[in-house]
Amino acid sequence: MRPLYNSAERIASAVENGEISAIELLDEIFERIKAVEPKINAFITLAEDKAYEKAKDIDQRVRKGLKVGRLAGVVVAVKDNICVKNVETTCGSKILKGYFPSYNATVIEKLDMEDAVIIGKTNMDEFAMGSTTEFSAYKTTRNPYDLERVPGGSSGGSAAAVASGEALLALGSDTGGSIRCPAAFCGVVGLKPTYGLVSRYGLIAYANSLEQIGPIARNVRDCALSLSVIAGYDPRDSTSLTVQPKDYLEDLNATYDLKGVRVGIIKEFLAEGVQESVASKVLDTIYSLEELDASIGEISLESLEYALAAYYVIAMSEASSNLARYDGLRYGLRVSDQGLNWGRAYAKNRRLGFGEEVKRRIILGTFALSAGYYEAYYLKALKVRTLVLMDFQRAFKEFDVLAGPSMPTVAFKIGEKMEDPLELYMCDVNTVPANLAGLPAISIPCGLSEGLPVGLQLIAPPMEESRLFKVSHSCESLGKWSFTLKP
Amino acid sequence: MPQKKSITAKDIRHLAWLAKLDLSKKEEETFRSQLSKILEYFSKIDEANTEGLPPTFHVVEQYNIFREDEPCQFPSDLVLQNPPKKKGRFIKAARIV
Repeated sequence: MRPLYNSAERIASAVENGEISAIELLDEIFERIKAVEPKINAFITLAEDKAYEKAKDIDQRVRKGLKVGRLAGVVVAVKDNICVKNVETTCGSKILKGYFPSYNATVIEKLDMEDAVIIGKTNMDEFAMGSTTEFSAYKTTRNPYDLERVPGGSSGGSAAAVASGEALLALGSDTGGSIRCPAAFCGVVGLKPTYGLVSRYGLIAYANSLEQIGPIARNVRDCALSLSVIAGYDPRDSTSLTVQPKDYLEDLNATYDLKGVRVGIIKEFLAEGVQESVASKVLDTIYSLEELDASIGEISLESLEYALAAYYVIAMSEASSNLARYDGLRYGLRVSDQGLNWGRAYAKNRRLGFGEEVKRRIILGTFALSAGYYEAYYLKALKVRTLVLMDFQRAFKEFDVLAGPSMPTVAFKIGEKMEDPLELYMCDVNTVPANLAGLPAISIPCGLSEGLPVGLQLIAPPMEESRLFKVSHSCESLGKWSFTLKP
Repeated sequence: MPQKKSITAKDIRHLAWLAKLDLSKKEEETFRSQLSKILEYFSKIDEANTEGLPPTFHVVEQYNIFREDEPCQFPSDLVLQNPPKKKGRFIKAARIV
């Protein structure tokens, strides 16, 4: 078998049956990394020793005929804002350089229990603040489809690693589109789960009320398998939903009949600024679902006009509070504080530790929360959030799934949008509504435009991930897209 | 509703002080021009009619999640592997005044 050309699901069963060993697979992956990583720059840290140790343990158990997990031997890349015990976790920031977590995030424990092999930590925009991965303090990750272009962000390293075959699966986090954006730009599948479905314990916080950890995979089945592993109630995350674990693959064994499924195209997702070629690929795919008897309609969600501004006010406000903890005392960077008192030392450490985008968001968040402006910005944004929530509730009375482009454009050139922060924020216009409303949303590749992948976004009501997988899997079954290794 | 305004260099310095963030002169200048533009865009939310609507702080309606108040074991060696400056088994902080 040629492991690099197989899905995670297929690999796991091959490892379980002894068709291939976890070590052989890992060797292949590291060979691939050696070949493409100098071009892609997907990883900040590789955990080679730890990965081989785990692979050896899996192989031993297989030889003894003992049970192995659902992800046996599957090589997983983890975004660098998710804590892996004793593996440096920087969050893409200089301020966390040298931080080695003393515990595993819940999602890491769950992956480990199912015998996934964690291979390393992937590059990201500093503290997940960005849509291109260019705001990493460490390196610039490149899009496997075109090395001159961005992979999207902030989970750009994770998406690029999956697209280039440096990992079979990856974890990302999505605060305002940080999984769906790079998934769309790199031609892979990315899911932001319902808020509270996946534990955030061990995820370094940016904006707590908006973010979720989610999988990035080659195809919908692998994505569903990953979610089955990482989802579930966790008492260590107070926002965790009390739900029973579920096998999301189970629902995907059915034949593709979408009779009775109503898909609603969100008109605002196709507004000005959306590339024509992107819109037409996405619409083609949506309308092709009629072949499977789905009914397609259109709907307008007027509050979405304000969603982007509301999202940024809320995210920056939460960030300004969350990032106050980086004082240089307990972990990470600590610059010389000779002659400085505590306040000065703290401020100096943060000047040298944080990058420009992080500072910009802390300042803006501090402004939005400050006396005299709290009501006009923060509180008003939260009321707009209510409006968005109500609009979605109304839309789901008419439709089972809502759809549109994940990103208004295909991946752009590295450096192209670095001058004007507001222009970059605008790229998130179609992804942030699902975060404001806590809804599950998936991006699946639906074709190429001038050689670059286009992502179709589907959004469902809370806890309806199965529905998302079913419709996404149906899109895949129409055969307009199949995963190919790049570059 | 309080008046929204463009940001001055003095505002930036005040915000930086509140956020315990040293900024260079260059950053101050860059942020001043960028932030006014960004805040102008944010003011778009003023147009939304939210009369009578409550704010949504959180989409999950859960309040006061309690757990048993039991100590858990966590080896202090693990905690002490990360602080950059230590003296014996203590974390060294900057002087207070």
